[in-house]
Formats: sequence, structure tokens, C-alpha cells
Amino acid sequence: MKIKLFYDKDSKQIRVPVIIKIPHKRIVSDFVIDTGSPHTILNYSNSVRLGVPHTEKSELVRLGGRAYQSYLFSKVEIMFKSDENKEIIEIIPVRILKPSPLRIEEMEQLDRCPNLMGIDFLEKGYKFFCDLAIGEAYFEKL
Amino acid sequence: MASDLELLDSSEKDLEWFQQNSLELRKRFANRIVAIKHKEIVADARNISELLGILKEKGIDETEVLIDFIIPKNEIVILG
Repeated sequence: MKIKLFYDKDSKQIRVPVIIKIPHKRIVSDFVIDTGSPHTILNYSNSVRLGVPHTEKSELVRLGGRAYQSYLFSKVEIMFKSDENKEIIEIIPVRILKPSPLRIEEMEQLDRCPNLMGIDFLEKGYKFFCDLAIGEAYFEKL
Repeated sequence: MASDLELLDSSEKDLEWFQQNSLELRKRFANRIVAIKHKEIVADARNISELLGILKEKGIDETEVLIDFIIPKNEIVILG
């Protein structure tokens, strides 16, 4: 089964629409495919929308020359729509970034950072096909 | 309440619309966080807490909108 990805010619980003679920809550969102990121990052805004706790400290993450404390949350389901109009669900730990110490202007910068789908997602057994010349990009479960 | 598949289908269309209209939206909503639903910007704000407040005032379910930050036209984002 394939999951269609969407290439934005203007921002030059490849995105995938998803539903992010935790127990008792779901939100509509999207992820930018980022093979340069080892982990999947849930942006701060979406963690607030979901009410995800920022309690389990994980690695320091360097992004754009700045180091952020990351917080791990393991109970996240990411739901995709397949090309056969079926649900595909993956459970994947996500990291949430927070500046330390907390500064309002830096929190606003993090509002601007998209969700990032990292290499850990592909390690779940997905082929990543991308041919921008023919306008086709998708994940395929192996 | 919409099913998960209905929501995914709708957000897929909204994402496509957003990408197709990206140039125009980057002019109109530069540096704003926007909420998109049914191929329309239903709210925009300076930050996420302001946006969630506006959605609540308008009676729009914040869990069913696509939320994105609009990068100004003369900026690019390099994540790594």
C-alpha cells in the first residue's frame, strides 16, 4: 500500500497529511519529510493542541544553530490514508523541542517549525520513492 | 463527528490547496500562523495560543483544522 506525499514547489518541501492521535484526542496535521533528522519531531504547537506532557527528557537537539531540550512521548499514533483509501497507523515515539530556559520569542520561533518525519519512520519498513520530474512521491510499506 | 478517513481526505485536499496557492498566501499572510479548513483560511494569528483563542471564539473545532506557519516570500527554511 502506498501513501501519497505532496511536493510544494514553492517552499520545496515534501509533506504528508496525517491524523496524530494520543489516548482520548486526535488532531489533523501534516509532517515535512526530513531524511536529515534521525528522529520524528512533533512541533511545540501540536504538542500543546494534543496536551502532550513535556516530562520525559531526551537528547539535546541542534536545529538552526540553536540547541533545544527534547522531550520524549511514546504513546503517539500517526494515521495516514493509503492510495486504496484505507487507514495506515504507525505508533512512533516523537520528540518535542523546547528552548531552555523558556523565552517567549524562542517559543514563537518553535511555533514556526513544522512537524518533521525523520529516519526513524522509514526504519519502520517503508520505501521512500521520490521523482520530482514526474511529480510523484510516496511511501510504500515493504 | 467526522471519521478519521473523512478527516484525512479533507486535510489532504486542504494541503493540496495550500500548496497550490502558496505564493498568494505567502504575500497575504506572511509571518502569521493560519488555520485551514475546506480550502479556506478560517483564522490567522501571531502565535499558536492567539490562534487557538480565535478558533474557539469562532466555534471552530481546532482539532479538525490544518495549522501552518506562513513563511514570508523572501525567506526559505533549512531545517537541518
